[in-house]
Parts: sequence; C-alpha cells; structure tokens
Amino acid sequence: MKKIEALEVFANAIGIEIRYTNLHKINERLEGIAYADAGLIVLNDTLKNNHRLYKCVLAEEIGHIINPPKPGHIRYHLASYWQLDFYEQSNIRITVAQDERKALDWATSVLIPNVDFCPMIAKPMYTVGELAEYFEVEPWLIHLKISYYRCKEREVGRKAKWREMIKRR
Amino acid sequence: MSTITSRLKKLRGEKGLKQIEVAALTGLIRATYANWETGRTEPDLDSVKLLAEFYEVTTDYLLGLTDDPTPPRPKQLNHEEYILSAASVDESTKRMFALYNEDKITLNDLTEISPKIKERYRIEFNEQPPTAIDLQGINAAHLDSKPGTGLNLKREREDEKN
Repeated sequence: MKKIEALEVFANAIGIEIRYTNLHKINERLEGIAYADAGLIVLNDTLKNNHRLYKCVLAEEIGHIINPPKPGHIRYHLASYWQLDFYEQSNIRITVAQDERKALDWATSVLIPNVDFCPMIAKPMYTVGELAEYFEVEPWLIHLKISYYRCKEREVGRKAKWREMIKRR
Repeated sequence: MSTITSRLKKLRGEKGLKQIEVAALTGLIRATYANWETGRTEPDLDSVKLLAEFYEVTTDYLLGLTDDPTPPRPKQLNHEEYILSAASVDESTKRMFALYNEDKITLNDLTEISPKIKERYRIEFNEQPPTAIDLQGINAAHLDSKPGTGLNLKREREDEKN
C-alpha cells in the first residue's frame, strides 16, 4: 500500500491525471493506456479490485510518461500500420518494444528495488511466487525484473544464471 | 634537491618515524626509500601512489604541484540534490523511489521534489505545458474506435484549437 500511495502522490505532483474506464471493451488483455503528451493515464475500472495488478499497471503506465514514446511509436496504433511494408512494420515494432522495455524497467526498478532484491537472489532461496508475494507484485513482473537484472549483469561482464538465483518449486 | 625529496623528509619528520620504520610499514626496501629521500633516485608512479596513501596526502602535494596536502573531500549531497543530480528524469525518479523505499524521504518530500523533476522533464523532452483539454472522461466513444485511440484524442484537440 505504501508504494501505491507513493505512485499516486508522484503522479498527482507531476500533473498526471488518472481516469478509469472499461478498457476490456477494446481488448480483453488491455489494462491501461498512457498518453504522454496529455499527461493522462487511463486504467481499466476492474483494477480497483486488484491492488497488485493495479500497482504494476500504474507503475508501467507512469514509466511510459517518464520515458515518452519515440517518434514512430504512434504509427503502431494506427489502422494504416497494416498498409506498411514488412520492413517499416518491423522498424515500428522495434521502436514499440524499446519503449515498452523502458517503461517496464522503470516499473520494476520502482516496485522491486535492488537493495531488497539483490540479497534475496544471492542464493536460490526463493521461488518466483515467493518473491512476488514478498514484493506484493504480479509474478510476471518478477520474471521481467530477473530478465533485466541478468541483462544488466551481462553488460558488466558477469553471468547471472537463473538457477543460481531462483529456487525450483 | 627536488620537491619530492624535501616533502618525503618533511612528512616522515611529522610522523616521527625512522626510514627503516617507513620501509617496514610500506613494504619497501630501506635503501630504496633512503635513495628517494636523498634524491639519488626517484620513485615510480606506483610508489608515489603508495607513499601518498601512507602519508595521507595527495600525489600532487608529493610531486610539488600543489602546496595543499589534504585531499579534496567530495561534497556531501542532500537527498534532493542527489535526486536532481541524476543524468536523466528516468534516473532521478528511480533514485527518488529508492530513497522512499529505504524510508530516507517521506511522502511530503516526494511531493516537494516531484514538481522539480517535472521541470527537468520539460527541459529534457522540450515539452510544452499541457493545454486545457476537455477529454470528457475518456468515454467509450473515444476508445471504441480501436486503433489510434491516442491519435484520435490528439486530432480532436487540434480541431478544438482550430
């Protein structure tokens, strides 16, 4: 609850407006939309009943506003996207994936701080579920955190193996 | 007599040590150290670093480039300065939430620092202050148009301006 409060206070302080509507009408898997230029986040109204998912989605959408979409991203959401040739579509998909990665990286950094996370994965003592329970986030966010952690370790020449961090069930 | 010779003698005198004691404490050979003090030979870079650490002075002082023996201390930043000194808004916000999670800053601090981050955001992304848009609660009419929902809003805003 402490982190939800902080995220909401931060969003409010930097002038991000949060609104709720039924996003499942558009897509059953759509939980949130961020409009970086308008400083607006639209969340699915059922998120109010699921605090964990709410926290994860809100953090990810704030991440989109902190890291605004690159030029070209918006074309992904246009109907004309399907009229583009294969190479243009690929380039746009890469841009979208980069933006998504930045937003998710922001969300994982905020919700799963390294100070707490690193000691917990120093030895394979916890499963993904236990880590998700500890940080009060969705398990998929833990998976992403581990992926990003491994990438960052690889950049500095260290090899972080999954089996040396996470306990098997 | 070079500067390093006189400074080595002076520093050893201040510590009240003999050459053999300095040699034992630093792992050097006494004769080598004695040669440096008399100016017969000169220490190499690693030895200068070792001596600077041993006497707790800067290498610049030993080499005579400065007369101030004390190493400059890094400026202690407060939490706000630490957050705002980050290279990007992304990093600033991450730092702020990390401090909040460690209970080093409170919600009130977070509220005070956030608008300053917003200012940096405007500079970093050359963002214009948001214009007053009446989005009418993002109703279904906007979102039912499926692809390009974001752009529809943008177009409507431009239409309103015109």
